[in-house]
This record gives sequence, C-alpha cells and structure tokens, in this order.
Amino acid sequence: MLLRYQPGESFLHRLDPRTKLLALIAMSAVALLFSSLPVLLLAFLFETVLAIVSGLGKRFFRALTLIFPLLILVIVLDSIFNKVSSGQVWFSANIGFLHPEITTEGILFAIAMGLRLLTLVGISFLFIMTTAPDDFVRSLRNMRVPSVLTFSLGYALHSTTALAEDTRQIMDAQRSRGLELDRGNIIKNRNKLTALFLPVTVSVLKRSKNTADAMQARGFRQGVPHSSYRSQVPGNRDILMGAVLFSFIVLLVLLDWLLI
Amino acid sequence: MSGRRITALRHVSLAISAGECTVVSGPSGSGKSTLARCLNGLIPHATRGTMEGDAIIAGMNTRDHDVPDFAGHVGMVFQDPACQMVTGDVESEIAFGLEIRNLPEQEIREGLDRAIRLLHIGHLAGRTIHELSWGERQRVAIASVLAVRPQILVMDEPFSGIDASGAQSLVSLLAELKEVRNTTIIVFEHRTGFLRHLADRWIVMQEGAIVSDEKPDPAGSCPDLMDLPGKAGSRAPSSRFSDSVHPGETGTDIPSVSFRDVVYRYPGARAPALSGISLAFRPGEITILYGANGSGKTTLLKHCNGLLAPDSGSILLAKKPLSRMTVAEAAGTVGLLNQHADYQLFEGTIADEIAFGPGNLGKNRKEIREIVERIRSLCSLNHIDPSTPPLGLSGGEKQRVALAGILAMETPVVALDEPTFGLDPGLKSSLGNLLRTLCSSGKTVIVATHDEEFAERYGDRFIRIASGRIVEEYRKPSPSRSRQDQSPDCTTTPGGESPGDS
Repeated sequence: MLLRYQPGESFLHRLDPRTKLLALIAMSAVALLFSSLPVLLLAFLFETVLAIVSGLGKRFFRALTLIFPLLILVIVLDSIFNKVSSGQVWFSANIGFLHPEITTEGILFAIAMGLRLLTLVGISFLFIMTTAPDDFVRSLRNMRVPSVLTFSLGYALHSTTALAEDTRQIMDAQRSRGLELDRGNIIKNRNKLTALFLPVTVSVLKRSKNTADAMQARGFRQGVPHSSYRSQVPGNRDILMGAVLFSFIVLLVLLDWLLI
Repeated sequence: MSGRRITALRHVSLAISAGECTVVSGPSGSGKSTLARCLNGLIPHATRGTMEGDAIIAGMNTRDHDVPDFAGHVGMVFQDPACQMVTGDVESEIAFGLEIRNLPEQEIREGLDRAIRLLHIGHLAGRTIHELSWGERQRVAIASVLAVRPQILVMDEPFSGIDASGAQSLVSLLAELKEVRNTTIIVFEHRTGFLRHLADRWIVMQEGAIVSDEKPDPAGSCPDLMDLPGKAGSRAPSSRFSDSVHPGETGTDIPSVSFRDVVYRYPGARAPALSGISLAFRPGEITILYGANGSGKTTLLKHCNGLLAPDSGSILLAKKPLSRMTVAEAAGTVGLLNQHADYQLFEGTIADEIAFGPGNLGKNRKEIREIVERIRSLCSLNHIDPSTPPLGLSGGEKQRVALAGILAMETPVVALDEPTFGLDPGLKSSLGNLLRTLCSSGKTVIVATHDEEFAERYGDRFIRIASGRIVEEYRKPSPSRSRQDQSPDCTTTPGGESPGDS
C-alpha cells in the first residue's frame, strides 16, 4: 500500500499531530482560497520540500501518481470548459449548450487548478504518511474529543489495513481454487464477485465481533474518559513549524496581492 | 449457540483455587471455548444463547457484573491474536487496558514497561501491529492482558499457532507468572504436551461435560509433543508406517514442482523472505516444511501456484514454467489450501462449495457431480447433508469443507499451509490418514506446519527453513529404506537440494 503511515524519525514525524492538523487545515485553505498559478505552484513546492526533508520524497511522488487520472481529467476539462478565457484562442466551438474553447489563459488556469488539486491532496498525503493513526487519535483525546469518537476513529483508521490483509488472503484463496482474477472482467461475472465479496463481509463481521469482545474483556466502557500513556506537549519543533507556516502564508498573500 | 439450538455446556461444576494452573483439553467442539467465555462474563453478556446456573469469578457473579467489571481480575487471551488487537501499534495496544482505567501517565508508563520486560518484546515497541508475525502478535496480546496485572489468566489455545521455540518461551512465562505472581492460570489447549510440567490439574471435556479432572501423573501420561523431528536416529522406525507408500515407489523421476534458486523479497521489506531456494517435490511423498514463525514457509508455498512470483530464479510445474501461467491456470496442477482456509467459504451449500474449484477448471456438470460425491466420502463429510450452508458449520467442519474444495480440483500436487490449526487429535489423525491416502495414490503432498507431532507421524521428508533458506533436509527412515537413508544423519545443504534426494 502506497498511502499509509510510514514510520520514521524525521522532522515531520516528530511534530505534534495537532501541529500537523493545523498545517493540514492551513495548506488546504491556501489551496482553496488562492487561484493564481505562481501561488499554487509555490504552495505545492513547499509541500514537496517538506516531503523531501522527511525522507519521503520518492514515496510522496509515487503516492501522488494515485490521483494522476483525476489530475489529467481536471486539467483537460478545465482547459476546455473554463471560466477564465483570454489571450490567444487556439480552439473554439459551439456544441449545443456547450462552449468548448482553448486559450492560453485557460490552459494556465487549468494548470493552476491541477496544482490546487495536488496541493490539497499532497498535504493530506503528507499528514497520513507521517502521523501514526494512534498518535493522531491520542492528540484528539488530549483536545477533549469524547473517547467513543476518538476510539472509533482510531479503530476505523487501522482496521483498513486489517481489511486489506483479509481481502488479499481471500483473493489468494479463491485464486488458488482456480478463480481467474488475472484475466478477463471481474465485474461481468457475478460469481467472481460473490466469491470475494461474501467471504470479505463474513470476515469483517467476525472481526468486529471479536474486537468488541476483546475490548470488553479488557475493560472498555462507553462514555468513560481515557487517559493517555504519552501526553503530547508541543515543543520547539512545533513552534518552528508554526512560524515557518505562518511566514509562508504571509508570503503567499503578499505575492497574490502583488500579482493582482 | 445461535441458529441451531445446541447445548454447548452440560452441568459443568468446577472450582479452581487461586494460584492453580489448570489445563482444559478435549476435542474440537467439546465446549472449551464456551467455558472460557463463561470465565469473564462474555457469556451471558456478549453471546447469544441462554445460560443456566452461576459462575462466580473472583468473588463476583457473572450474572450481576458486566464483562468490563472482570477486566481487572481476569486477563483473557483469545485464540487468534489478530482479532483481539484494538489499536494500531504495539505500545498503544499494551497501554490500552491501563488508559481506559484513566490512570495517570506515569503509572501507565510503568505498567507498559513492566509488561514489555516480562514478555521480552522490547524490540517490538514502536512497531505497528500489522507488520508483526502471528507469534509476535500473540506476545503483544499477552503483554497487553498482563499489563493490568490480573490475578487470573485465561488462554484459549495459545499453542496452536506458534512454533516449538515460541511454545517453550510461553511455557517459561507461564511458569514465571505462577511462581512469582501466583497467578491463577487456566489454559484451554489441544497440544497439552507443552504444559506437562506446569499443570496442577488436567481437565478433559467432551460434548460439553467434564469427563475427567485429575492431578497430573508425574510419569507423564500425555504424549510429549516437544520431541522435535530433529535427529533421524532418535526416531525409531515404527510399524505404523509399514503400510504406507514409500518415496520413489509410485513416483517418477520428474519432480512435480521444482524451485531453482528462487529469491523473493516482499515489497518494502529489508531482508528477502526467500533467498536462493532450490528444491524439488516429487509424487508419492509427503514433504513437511517446518521452521519458526516467519521463516518463509508460507511464502514458499505461495510460490508453488504463482500467488507470489519470484524476483529471480524459476519454478517449474512438471516441465512447464510457472511464470507463463496465471494463478487460476496453475490451480489445475497445484491445489493450495491457505492458512485459516475457512475464510474462503461463500457458497450456499457444501456441495456447491466443493464444486466451485472443479467448475473453475472447466469440468462439466456430470463430472462435477461425481467429484463431489467422491470427495465427500474421501473427506468424511458424508454424515453432513450436502445442502447444509458451510458458513453454519463448526470450525473443524469448515476446515474440512475448505480442504474438500481444494481436493475436488484433483490436482497432482496438494499443498497445505498449517492444516492442523485448531484441530483436535482425532481430526488431526483423520487428516493425516487422508494425506497418506492421497500420497499413495501418487500425489505430491506438501505441508507447511509447526505441529511437530503431526509432522513426525505423517511426513516422509522434512525440510527446515530459517530466514528464507533451507537449513536442514532429511527423510524419515522407513523400514524398507532405513539403511540407505539413515547413514547421513541429515544432509545440511544451505540453499541447496541434498544430492541423494531422488
């Protein structure tokens, strides 16, 4: 799996999850509020630098390839059907109510939209890759989020790995029984889907029942507050990150203002 | 307890004193797990069904107190360590029981460190749960239960998924708990040999009732399963093998599966899971792959039908290279039964479940009907109505249906991954006999297991794997061939095939 927590000891890894949550919100806001190409390009470069500093450069880009189809779609659609259209007109047509048009400005705008998507997705990926789900949940708990909520979130986060593991096991088992998954269309064959879907469902149900039993056996009660074995106190690192983030955003605002 | 009305426990009366180590054994379905679930209130509170009578644990009646009330007193380790993990990383998992008691941070830290030291799992701290092996997960599960210092420890089949060395360290842990903490230990287990010197009391259950309850016989009436199939000389050829077919008699010289210098590394893993495996499996013999948890047994088996493809090296099925086939095509030659195979069941009836494989291989309806009949009697499933839904069966029965589903493909090679998991001695011996039957009909049988007793009883050839290499390989001295095979005690050829093998 490309997109999951990658254990490490880098600067980003060691930040308080709350700081990272703040960065996630701030960078998402940047991506959504600004629409000029240079600003978005800078924002994305900033994330790239963060990824490289955390030793995740390669993984970061490989994970970004996951959204490649969406990225292409956004760029193509935005360059044909755009709101901003000025400059050199390369192509123009009227097809019914559609008015496709390719212009220099439009293409630049489309690239900016692509960068907006990359910035938005990039910061989320960085957050996921450098934050252990349990640390994140713990920090939410420190922020007085009710324990039932935080626990459910934590369980959901790491049970995706368990679910993926189960699914792979089941696929392996059915392929070993001669189910052809390497060739042909899975969707077309009802039986192929049942052979995967049903066992996965059964295993999910079984797993959740077992986990519920195990939790109760270990004393879990609904609505009782939990303490934490590792309290997180924001350190110098978090102050530094906050300062960098703040100055960067101020820079972006200035740049955006200058460009207008 | 659900669906069909079954009485799982019949008039069980039992008093266990503090500090006692009790071992409860009995065949699959005898009510062991049900009894275990009565010990912390999961029955009656979290299980469907009705309970009569009372269970008083640590002075509390399970009717009046809910499951969490028992958490500080009864530590319960379930059979499957993967299913009892409630968090994502090792430290959080161990701290969980302490955190939900809302203890101060310092106290949790101490409890956490204590449990980590007790289980010797310092090297696992900081790792995520999903990258741990079965044995490691089990240690984490035990640590997380012991972190709250329960005075009673209940374990459901703790030995079923671990290898001999893991079992040995579990036994010494239990001994330490008993001696130092005076913990009351109740272990539900088939593989009782491990607990021989530890148990103060043996209880045997059958059909939901206690049929025997005694102090252990110091002479040791239970078989010692710790006896590894290690040195060929230590195992006297026994008459029970005399009627079996010996390697080479029915076999030909063409190996049905052969590995040549196979190397495989899991994506993202530092060390290769298989490094330079060369190996041939021949018809008419049962090859046992053994070795510690995580040594590469399962990885090797998954290469037999192409579920995993080697990074370098090649694999031939008879004479055809496996790399040119899809898994589904290879499934016509190699029937691989995965670990915990009951997961794969999905059809509405047992008959359909068995027919699934042959159907995929393109057999016609008449052939399939014949196969289903044949396989049902081969796997002793005749007593169960073929229209029963397999998902409603008991664990042991599901396992047999899954095996039947593989055998129904009538492949020349049958590979099984930990097939004895959770089976009681009775079911194990019928599985073993079934494998011998297959083997004498000329099939190649490959079994990955760490059940030494089973391996020793039914295997012909033993291959020990450690860190992805073959470190030891030998054959069972059989009555007719003992002279030629026994002379070299065992051939140790790291990464290679023994010369006198064919």
